Amino acid sequence: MKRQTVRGDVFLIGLLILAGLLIGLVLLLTKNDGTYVEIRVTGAETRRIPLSESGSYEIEGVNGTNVLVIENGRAHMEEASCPDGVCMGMGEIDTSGQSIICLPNEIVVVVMDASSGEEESDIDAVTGGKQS
Amino acid sequence: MNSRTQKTAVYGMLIALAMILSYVEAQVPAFFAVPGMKLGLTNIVVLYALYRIGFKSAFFINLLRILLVGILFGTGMSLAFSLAGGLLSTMVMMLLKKTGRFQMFTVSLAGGITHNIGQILVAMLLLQTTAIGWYLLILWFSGLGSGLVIGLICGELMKHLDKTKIEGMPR
Repeated sequence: MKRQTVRGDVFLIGLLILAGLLIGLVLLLTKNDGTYVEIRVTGAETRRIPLSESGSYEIEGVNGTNVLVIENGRAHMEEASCPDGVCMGMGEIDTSGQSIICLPNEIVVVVMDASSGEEESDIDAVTGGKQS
Repeated sequence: MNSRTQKTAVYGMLIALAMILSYVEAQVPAFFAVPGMKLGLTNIVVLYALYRIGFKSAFFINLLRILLVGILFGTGMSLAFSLAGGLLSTMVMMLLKKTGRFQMFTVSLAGGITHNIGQILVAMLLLQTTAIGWYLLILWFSGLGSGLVIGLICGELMKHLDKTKIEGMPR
């Protein structure tokens, strides 16, 4: 399948790289340091923790318990009950919109900032309140 | 030669090969910190089928592979991810190939990206989250890279396979 038409390839690959860079640029421009993390289990918000509150927090997932640690305004998954532990490898998050996702336990941890919280407060009548 | 028998044999072999590659790849998750990021070795088989047999066979080989691997080793969740990614990328690759304007590695590269996009879309649906920003960026470029690599591998492979004199081998 040798084709001499390299133009099509250059065009499409260039376009795809450009689109990727654009995504990156948009992300950089809209980057906001988050103020708190929102924890969702099976899609429902269960709790909010400010990033300023260092400590470790247990999250009850579908198939087990994970431990989220917040240190120096950054959050990471310290322990996970699932065998692969992918979420522990997702590193630290501190920027609004960043997330750690644990599929086996259906846990999503998302960093939010003040503005994203306001948008959601209209819809989200049920907040987790204080647990544990 | 009975062409139906040949077809059955070739399809069976390709599906088996795709399944093995799926399995092999699943054994090395440690390489990739980001879930969903992978090399996509199976795509070698799908690409080969797409270029040497046709879209229909590529589509069904991939579909069967996904279902079989999903049932054997996967969970419902992983099956949904593979289905969305695999079918979307196969269709995009078919469309790009049909235009006749792109070389195989470009087709494969676009397939790599769309595979990841499909997975992200399903993740957004299942987890009901739109917070995917950086994840999208990482998977965009990883799909681009792995798609390119797979495309080049498959191109090289086809060069050699085309020289073989195996009866019934599509070429």
